[in-house]
Amino acid sequence: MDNFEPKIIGFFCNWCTSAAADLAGTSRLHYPSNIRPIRVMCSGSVDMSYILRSLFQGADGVIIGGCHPGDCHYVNGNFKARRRVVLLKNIMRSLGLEEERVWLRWISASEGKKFAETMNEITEKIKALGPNKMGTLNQT
Amino acid sequence: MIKQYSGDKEKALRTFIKELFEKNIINAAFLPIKQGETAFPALITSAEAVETSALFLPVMPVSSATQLVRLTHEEPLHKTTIAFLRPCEMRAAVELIKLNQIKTDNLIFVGVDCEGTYDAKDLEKNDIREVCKICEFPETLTGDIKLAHLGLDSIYLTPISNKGQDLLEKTGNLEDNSNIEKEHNDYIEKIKKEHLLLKETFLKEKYEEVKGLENLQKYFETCINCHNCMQQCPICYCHECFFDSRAFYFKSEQFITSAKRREALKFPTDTLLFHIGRMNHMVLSCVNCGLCEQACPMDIKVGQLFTYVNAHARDEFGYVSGKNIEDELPLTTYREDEFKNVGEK
Repeated sequence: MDNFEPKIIGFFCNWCTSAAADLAGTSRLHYPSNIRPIRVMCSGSVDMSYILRSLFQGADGVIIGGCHPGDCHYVNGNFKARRRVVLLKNIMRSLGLEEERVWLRWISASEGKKFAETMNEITEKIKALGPNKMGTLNQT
Repeated sequence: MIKQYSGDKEKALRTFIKELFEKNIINAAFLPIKQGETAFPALITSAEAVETSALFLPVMPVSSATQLVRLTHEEPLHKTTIAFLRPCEMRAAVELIKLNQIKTDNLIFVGVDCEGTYDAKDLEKNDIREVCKICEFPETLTGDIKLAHLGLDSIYLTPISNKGQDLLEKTGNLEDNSNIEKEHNDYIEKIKKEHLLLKETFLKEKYEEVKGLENLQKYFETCINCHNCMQQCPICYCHECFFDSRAFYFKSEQFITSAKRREALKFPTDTLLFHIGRMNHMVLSCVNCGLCEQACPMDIKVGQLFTYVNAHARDEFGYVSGKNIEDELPLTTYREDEFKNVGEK
């Protein structure tokens, strides 16, 4: 368990968090390789089924990165994403699943530092949680 | 102000509908008619056809709300049609109207009291569905007219909207009968109270039954992935369900990788994903009708689980499905200053 390296899937908005990831890279900031980034056009384009499927297929954590409230490239995608995440977490809570594995964060294109810090933070937290049992169930 | 009838409820209803046809107030009526041991919603266009009506038989093999989607899909109704719906069907209709699936032009909704219905597969059991036993809505919340009969000797019609008022006034003068209203109200409140109490216990027991992965897997272990629950759900209106789409086809190598992670990869795959994913799409609009449970060939208690999850989700969003046509669907709207604990850090 000590050398457990979690897999974390990141759904990052093209207009903010993905750019922040680039900025973190060009600024030579370190963040763990546990993050598997997927660029999406908007945090509001992420259906919660993709989050669930990630968890059922072995991801130990999932993070959605979107634009700060009011900054969405498509006006309100991030607000809609927030409601969907709230519902997903509520459902997971009702079913006794670990909602702490699902994160939503606002990281703008200029926040390379915040990006690196957030990725460090989630990796640490998920490490502490341990492997996700949803990914080893026979039934998916 | 109410319009009252006397005598046997079904006969009184027929008298009412006949009157509407004879006075040319309506062109058609949509209500359950007898079909063997059960009753199905049907469209009738004459007073004679009303003789087989079975509005008070406690059965609901399909949701009338779903049928109204089909009825008005290509164009709205041209002439006045009166539709009789149980409270859960009425609530589903409200959700479907918000989802732009039912065109309400010339449609008059009558919400009918309901004390619960039998599962169509299990008529001999002579017992109402489990979800009906904890239903909080024995009388309609919306619509144009309320048809009250629970705890009463016959049927009593109260207008709820202007449309309903107009229609009832055309049949003659409405009467003031506050005694009946009180009697009815007391009875409804009594049922609600009993059901709420049962629901409280139900929610606690359901949590114990499903909490955690092992229990959840056990709950759905016999799922054959037929998607009947989705087909029968009045809220699931999508012509192609996301979970039936190509998004859920994968390469063989992906299945092998997935199988390596576990003891064995059970087929059909993605059944838990389907149920929890579907929940994410529609549970806030779930009207707790129990039709998903009736549709399940493996007797999985789907309806009970959705009712349980809905009870918690609706508290979070402060949205009761089908309660008010003015309330916006929670997933199509947002407020800037809400749920700050999610996202901000």
